[in-house]
Amino acid sequence: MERITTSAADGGDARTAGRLRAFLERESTAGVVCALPFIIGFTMFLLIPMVLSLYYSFTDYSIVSGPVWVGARNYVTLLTGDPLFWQSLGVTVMFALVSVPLRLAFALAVAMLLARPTPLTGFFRVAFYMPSILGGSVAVAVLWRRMFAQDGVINAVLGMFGIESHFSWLGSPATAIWTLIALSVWQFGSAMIVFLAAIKQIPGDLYEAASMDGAGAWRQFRTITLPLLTPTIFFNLVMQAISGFLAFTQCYIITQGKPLNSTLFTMVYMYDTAFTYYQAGYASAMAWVMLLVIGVMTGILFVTKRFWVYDPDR
Amino acid sequence: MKLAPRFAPWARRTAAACAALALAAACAACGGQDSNDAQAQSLTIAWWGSQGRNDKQKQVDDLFLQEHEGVNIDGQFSQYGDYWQKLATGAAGHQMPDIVAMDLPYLNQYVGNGLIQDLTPYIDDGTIDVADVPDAVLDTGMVADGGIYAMSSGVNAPAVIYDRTLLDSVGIEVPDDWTLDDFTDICRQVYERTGTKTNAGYYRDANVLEYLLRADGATLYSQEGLAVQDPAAVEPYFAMFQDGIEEGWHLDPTIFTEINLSVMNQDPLVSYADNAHRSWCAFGWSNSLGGMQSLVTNGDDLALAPWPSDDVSRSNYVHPAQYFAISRDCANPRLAAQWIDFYLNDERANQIMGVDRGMPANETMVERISGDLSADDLESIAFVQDVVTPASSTINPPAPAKAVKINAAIMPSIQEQLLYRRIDAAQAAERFIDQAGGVFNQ
Repeated sequence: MERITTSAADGGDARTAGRLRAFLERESTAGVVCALPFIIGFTMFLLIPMVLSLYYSFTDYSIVSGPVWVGARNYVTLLTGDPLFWQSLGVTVMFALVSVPLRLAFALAVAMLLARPTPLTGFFRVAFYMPSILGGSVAVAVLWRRMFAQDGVINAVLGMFGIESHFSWLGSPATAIWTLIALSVWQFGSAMIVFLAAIKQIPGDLYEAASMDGAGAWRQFRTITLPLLTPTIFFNLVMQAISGFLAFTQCYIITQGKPLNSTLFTMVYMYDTAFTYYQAGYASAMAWVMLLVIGVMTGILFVTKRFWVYDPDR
Repeated sequence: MKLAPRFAPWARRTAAACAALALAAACAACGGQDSNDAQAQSLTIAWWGSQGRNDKQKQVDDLFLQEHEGVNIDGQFSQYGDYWQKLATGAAGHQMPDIVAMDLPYLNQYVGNGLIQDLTPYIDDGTIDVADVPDAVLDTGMVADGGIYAMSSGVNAPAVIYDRTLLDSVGIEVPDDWTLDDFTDICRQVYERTGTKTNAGYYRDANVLEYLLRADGATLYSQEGLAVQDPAAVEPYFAMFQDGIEEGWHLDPTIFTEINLSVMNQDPLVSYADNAHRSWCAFGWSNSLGGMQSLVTNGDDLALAPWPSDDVSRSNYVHPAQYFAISRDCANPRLAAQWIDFYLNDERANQIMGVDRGMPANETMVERISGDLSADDLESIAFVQDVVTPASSTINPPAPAKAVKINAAIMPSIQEQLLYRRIDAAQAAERFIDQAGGVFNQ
């Protein structure tokens, strides 16, 4: 009796080992394991926080205390009783609407200049990309504040041209947002790199044929380069518009929303609500409304796509 | 038909091995949380303040370490606003520093949510010796349940810090008892005779308003909300700003967009020499005198006066400058209590700190260290002892937790709209009552 049991157990072990081996050798196992770093990261840093923030958005949660369920109250207050939220949304939309097209135009212009290989092209590409790395940093934000101060570089340069100015760029509600837009446009590097790659993809014989037909540089740009770049422009537009809506550092470091909340980005208002006013539940609701806004905006961009974006399959 | 390329067997095995390793590493990391002795003997201390305070604090910590071998102290300091953001996230993640600085507006919230520990057991068993701490000071750390949750690091008082040299030069003397009208008169005179403007506490919290209300025996907050309902009661305060900007003696609001007011060395009292940017005074606290004086570049002497009020002795109060509390997450509260005791009662520690965090809470220290103090520190102590203490009233109970938004956003924003002349004082008063009241319904 005992012997039989033992041998059955032996057989079981062997079978388990075999199954484990088979499991390890299976293709899907390897696939999952290779994808694991992403899956873990996605779950821990995106999925769980998002689910939590969705829950918090229905609670009164002061961070230091536990969340208390309040139903849709946060959303009701946000949409009906918080003029500052709408103000900040207006500022954010204005910022994105102005800075993104300007930045793309800048990026395209510089990419056109850098597309032609010359001995210094490599240097210039790096030099023009630099602001994209530096521009989001705290150091540059602080520098920016000094530059636009009443006794800063901008007024000094104006003085050199005979325009004596003690104008407060940051202190005037009409101009403060433009200092932030200027900083944002200056960070055109990553869009430029994408444009550069796309420009190089355009077949040279198109230009050859065009110049044989007598088309000048401007016409070539308008009828060949630009239409063939529209898919890239579209890609850049969507990516940059989203990041425009999520802008934070410039406002947080340079203006803090001043003056008169004319530079208050929604992201900064949200951050202050959560961590300065200790209203994390309300801030979570804000985040979800923002997600919706950005989703709708991206959706609209996609709808317009078929009217102006070149699609070789169609 | 299979579309995906097949993995080579070696790749599969490598992947499996990697997964096993990663799992093992994760398990090891989870198991590494056991606290051992070395960890238990470390103290993390967090507070708000300047680099100068940090340098002094470091010396005190080093002295403490000489008496407690094997202990390790990690001091963390931030600016006031950032400090509370860090502390809140630390609290949410159960990773608060062992000893945390507390302030009156936040005390109830942190006690109410069980985030800081009752110090009473350590006071009762003598670990924290409070024999020389006046009851009035000790009680400022007491909450409704009778426990003492926070130990005052020292006391200070509301103070207008002003440029005495400048005022002497035009023969203006600041009295120890002055009304809001006296204050605006002096602002006008200083502007007319010297061209120097005033920063009347712009872009600040509601403390000055609360101070003014106390003259009539009124409070700004009740237990659960805003106590003031009548806009007329708060209008005089806002009228001061309106007069200031209309008559030209208040600083232009644009200059405040270029500075960070929570950093002392950017205050218009000390950081500018030109009259467009400079202020002859700053609304602050008595313990800042030494720090401010050290930042003055033109050699002018700074001095202290109470905040103006129609009845200074009813308005004025002695105030706990900063508290120390032991957090819920502290692994070794006894050691933390020993540190607080050291800070409070060690003579050398008191010599080093001076009045940086207010006049020492330990009464006997004031005399014992007076020989080592700078003239400004002595002036600050004399101000609290001789000017404020005899003519002041008990401090108001802490504001409700949600008042933080009023202090950080609503009040500064209304002052801003006034100085940009978007609204007048009457509208400002109405908006304040409306918006500040609304905070408590949110």
